Amino acid sequence: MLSVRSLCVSYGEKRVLHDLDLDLAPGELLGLIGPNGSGKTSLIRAISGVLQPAAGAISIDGKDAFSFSEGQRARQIAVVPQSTLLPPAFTVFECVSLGRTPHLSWLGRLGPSDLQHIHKAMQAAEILHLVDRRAGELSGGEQQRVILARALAQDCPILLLDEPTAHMDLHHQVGLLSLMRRMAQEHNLAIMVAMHDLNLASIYAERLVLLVNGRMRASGTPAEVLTTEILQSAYQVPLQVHPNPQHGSPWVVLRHE
Amino acid sequence: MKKIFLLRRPFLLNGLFLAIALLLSLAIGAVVIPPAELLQALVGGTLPATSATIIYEVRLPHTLLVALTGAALAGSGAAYQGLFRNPLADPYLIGVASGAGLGAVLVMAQSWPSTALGFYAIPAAAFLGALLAVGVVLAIARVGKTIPVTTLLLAGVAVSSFATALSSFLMLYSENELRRALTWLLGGATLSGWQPVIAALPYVVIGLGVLLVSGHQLNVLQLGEEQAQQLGLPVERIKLGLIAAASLAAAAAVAFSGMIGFIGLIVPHALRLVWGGDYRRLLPLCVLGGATALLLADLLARSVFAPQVLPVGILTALAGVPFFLWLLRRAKAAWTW
Amino acid sequence: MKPRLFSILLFISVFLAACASPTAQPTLPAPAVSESQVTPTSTQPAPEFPLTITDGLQRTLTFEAPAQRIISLAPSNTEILFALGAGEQLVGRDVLSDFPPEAQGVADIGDTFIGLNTELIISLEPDLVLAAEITPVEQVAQLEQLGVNVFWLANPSDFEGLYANLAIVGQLTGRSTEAASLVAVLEERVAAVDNALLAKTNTPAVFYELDASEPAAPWTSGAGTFIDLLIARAGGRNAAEGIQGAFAQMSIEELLVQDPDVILLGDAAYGITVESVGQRAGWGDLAAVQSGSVYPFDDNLISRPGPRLVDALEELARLLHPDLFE
Repeated sequence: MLSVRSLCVSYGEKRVLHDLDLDLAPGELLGLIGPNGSGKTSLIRAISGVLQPAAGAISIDGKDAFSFSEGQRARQIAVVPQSTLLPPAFTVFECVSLGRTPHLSWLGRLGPSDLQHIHKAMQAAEILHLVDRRAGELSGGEQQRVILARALAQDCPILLLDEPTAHMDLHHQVGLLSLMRRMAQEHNLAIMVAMHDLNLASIYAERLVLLVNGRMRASGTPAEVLTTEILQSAYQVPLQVHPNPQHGSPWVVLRHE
Repeated sequence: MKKIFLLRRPFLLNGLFLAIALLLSLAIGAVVIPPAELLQALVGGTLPATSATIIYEVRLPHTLLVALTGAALAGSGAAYQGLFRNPLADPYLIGVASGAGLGAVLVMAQSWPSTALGFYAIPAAAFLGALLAVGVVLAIARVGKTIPVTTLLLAGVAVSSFATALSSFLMLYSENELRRALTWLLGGATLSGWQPVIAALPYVVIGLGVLLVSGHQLNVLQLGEEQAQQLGLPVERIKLGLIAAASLAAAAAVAFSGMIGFIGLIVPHALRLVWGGDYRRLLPLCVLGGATALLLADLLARSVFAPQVLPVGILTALAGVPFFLWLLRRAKAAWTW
Repeated sequence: MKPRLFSILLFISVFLAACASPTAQPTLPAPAVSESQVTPTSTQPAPEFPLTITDGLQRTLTFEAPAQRIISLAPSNTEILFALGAGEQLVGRDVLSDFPPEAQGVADIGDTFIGLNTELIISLEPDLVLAAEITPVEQVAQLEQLGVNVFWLANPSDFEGLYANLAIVGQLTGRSTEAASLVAVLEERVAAVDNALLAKTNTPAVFYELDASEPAAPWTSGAGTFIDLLIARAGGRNAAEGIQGAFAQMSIEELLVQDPDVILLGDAAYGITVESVGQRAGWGDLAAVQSGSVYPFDDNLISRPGPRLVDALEELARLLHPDLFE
């Protein structure tokens, strides 16, 4: 169980997160939504430890996360960062195997169980056929799946994903999100996905948190968060939320003026 | 088939190359030593006094110093490229060379010290100058507890330019020592005898030793510092340790052999083009390949205009660059780095 | 290396190639040889061996017998050896040693600056390596470690120092008698110049050009150098006496103010002609150019601290005071 209390984050003088409270339970898929610059990435960076919060507390299973070493934290939290460049001369296998780092000794030698985890992760991310390719030869979507596989290979109870579907086609977007849902349910992982597509969020996330200007604007089930009134004020565009004709979840459509 | 067999065994292949280069370096020199005597020397037999002096006191230490220098430059070059995730990084990027140059020129600008210590004043000053320059760069680039790479590179360039300008100024004022300084800067001042080898060895061994066991950390750093930390790496400490190790090896190389360019840049890239970017493999290959490359360049430098000896730094560029460009054209890979 | 530094170095190397031999550096002490060891008088017999002697690096060396297999590491040393008749004892010389012509028949052992060929030096089995001030101390230390006798001959700062150097080399090579008579001849020649100059009526200002590849700021030799000393001894005045250093740059503006009576082209050996001097921007107005007092000069006479320094003195005196040396 990840819990964030009264978290404040600043870049220099500029405060980007105000007094944020958030819980992420095992088995749950939490969708993090909000306009650009609302603080989604900062939240993920602060939880993963690369950004020092100005105030507040983060705990994992009741233990203060700030007391963790880098290695201890990396055995608890795996992160799929926003679009990133993989080292071009590395093979896909080499990239994914780096995910095992928190479980390895200094020399980084892989054992049989490491290889098993790497294999499973590549299978889940549908990149087994790319295993010997160089990262520099891959498309943007393929690279994102490699990064996803690396995070899965890290084998952590908490998984944070920052717009992981940005470069993916529809097939792989759907594939990734249903995989996350399955991982949450079958492996009891706590998963938080920052995303822009409100309709995908509505379908796949069990719970949504909407950030606006560094503050939590709304939190709850998709039906509670994705309302015409809340979204119009958050995104400042005319839109309408309908019930999805297929399964009744909220369905966001733009309105012409 | 044979070619593929050897390409699949990079350590065997590069070890073989190094062995050949070492033998050639011992066998070829200004003075022709009959193969029979060379064989005698290899098996430890007795030799005519002059041949023994030339082989054991001149060629062998020189060969070892060149091999150490090449290994140190290529190893630290690869490490810097990995640390900074910058294909243009070389061992001299953050002030090692200009610092060493300034130290050396400072000593050369003095009139001759005639004490025994004075004989090694230049390498000692170059070594200290190199470490001091890197220290200044690190201190300047420090932002809170972190050392951002961009700041580091900019500070490196700035400090280097400053030290270089100061060296040029001193050189213009030190008159008679100008040509010596120039020779040293071109990488021609390879000292002979055992003392430089013994003096450089510990630093090169420690520096390269740390780098050789840190291949995995360099691999993780290739994902970027943020992701490296998210994968559990204490990034700042590792960065500092690796910079110190790479600088130590490079400083020792520069101090005793002058500024030899291109080895630290080209050898890692050439090996990366053939055997990929895994630093656990690349670093040891660079140690072998760097030694081989510099030995061959040195051999050329000693024989092309014999009995004149060219500064080996000129040869590394003249011979190394065309080879590298050929490799680059031939590879035609999307991932050159 | 930064491109800018490289171009500077390139320039420096070209410049240095244009004055490929060492200049006298007067700031250094004359050879440290005690009186009892070296007294170059013509009456003294050849010194006794074993010979204990201190070189310019304050190293005390002992020689059992006159050196018979000598390697010279500087053109000046080579010239001294040949002048003493010890040329036949020479088995190796540095690449710049091109005088006298016989020297070129001796084995070449490399370049002092770029790198001496240690292997060749060892293989020649020398009993004396005669180093000079251009020889780096590291090189001396290395050869010493390899069991080679190295004598480091400091540059003289005046004629007395030159004579002392000749006496030292004479001792080392068993040619003290020759050294003594050579010194006597040189002293006589210097005295003859001094005597002739007693009648001089003027003291022409002399600009000694080392390099003018940058005509707006030519290189010359400043106060206290051997060039400065020789010009003064030859009855002239160094136009650059106001600046310091053996390689010093003087701006064309300062040159126009000094307006020397005579310009000597120390770079004549590298293709600089008297005509080309007049064509340089601003140089045409100089008195020396207009009066035709621009002369080529063999820089090796001055820059090599050997017996030909006296040739340089005579040549200078003739150029500055032609009327006194008919």
